[in-house]
Amino acid sequence: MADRTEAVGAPSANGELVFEEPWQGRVLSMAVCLSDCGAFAWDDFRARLIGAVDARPDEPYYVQFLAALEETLLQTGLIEQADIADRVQTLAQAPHEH
Amino acid sequence: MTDQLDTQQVRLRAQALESLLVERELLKESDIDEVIERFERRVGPMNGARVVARAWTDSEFKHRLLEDATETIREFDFQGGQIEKLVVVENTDSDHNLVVCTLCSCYPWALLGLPPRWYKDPAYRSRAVREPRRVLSEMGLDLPESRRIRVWDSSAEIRYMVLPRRPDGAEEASLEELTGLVTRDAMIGVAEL
Repeated sequence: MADRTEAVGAPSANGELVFEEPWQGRVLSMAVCLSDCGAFAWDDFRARLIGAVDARPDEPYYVQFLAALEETLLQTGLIEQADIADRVQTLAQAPHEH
Repeated sequence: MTDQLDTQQVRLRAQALESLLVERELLKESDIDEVIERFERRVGPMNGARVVARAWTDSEFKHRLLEDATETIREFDFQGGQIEKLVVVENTDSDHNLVVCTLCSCYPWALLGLPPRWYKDPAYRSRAVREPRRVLSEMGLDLPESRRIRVWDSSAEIRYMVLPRRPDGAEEASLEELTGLVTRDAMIGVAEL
């Protein structure tokens, strides 16, 4: 059954990589999970995504997507801007795990 | 060089967000993994292909699908998508349907998986409405002049999927074989089968 799913799901006509980089898949999944568990309404997120696409037409799609997710979370108050900045700083200084 | 730095910065931002959300127990890492798995493997054009093949072989189902797709696809128990309202539009000898989202990238995920990259491209999003025949031709689909092209903009609460024309010579095919013939691009309307 799994073989068949893959055979039908990924023929050459559809043979495009789903995600170019792992972080893109994780960002997308975070948005889906947060909406599923009620952290925000999908419609709110989508409205911000439309705004982000509009405001940053030249940026790659998942960069727009990440910006929209950040904005949505800031709006809910679950995360503060300073938290993100601090964490980025910490991660940037951390030795690479891989 | 700048691009590399930017990419690195974006990656860090994504990572920062995830670690904060996990730390605050808003998310579990395993949930994120699960959703990725769902998108990469289980969801995909396969679900849409099953619906199309069923419509080709079961006229009563097809009738219901075209009348009220949202309700009709419930019997498949598809998971993993935010479909509020689904509308299925049928390609015929006289009409060809094309789906776009002019505002962002609304797409029937539960049926077609993730949108292809060109679907999110500003050029496709604007030109598909303005000059659909030319866009289709550039994508390799030359339609006869006599065929009317209808463009469906998913920007509202509605997601669209195209029911492609059944290919000639597939009269004897089983449901499973028919499912295998259906491509994602045909269900967006940028290809025929």
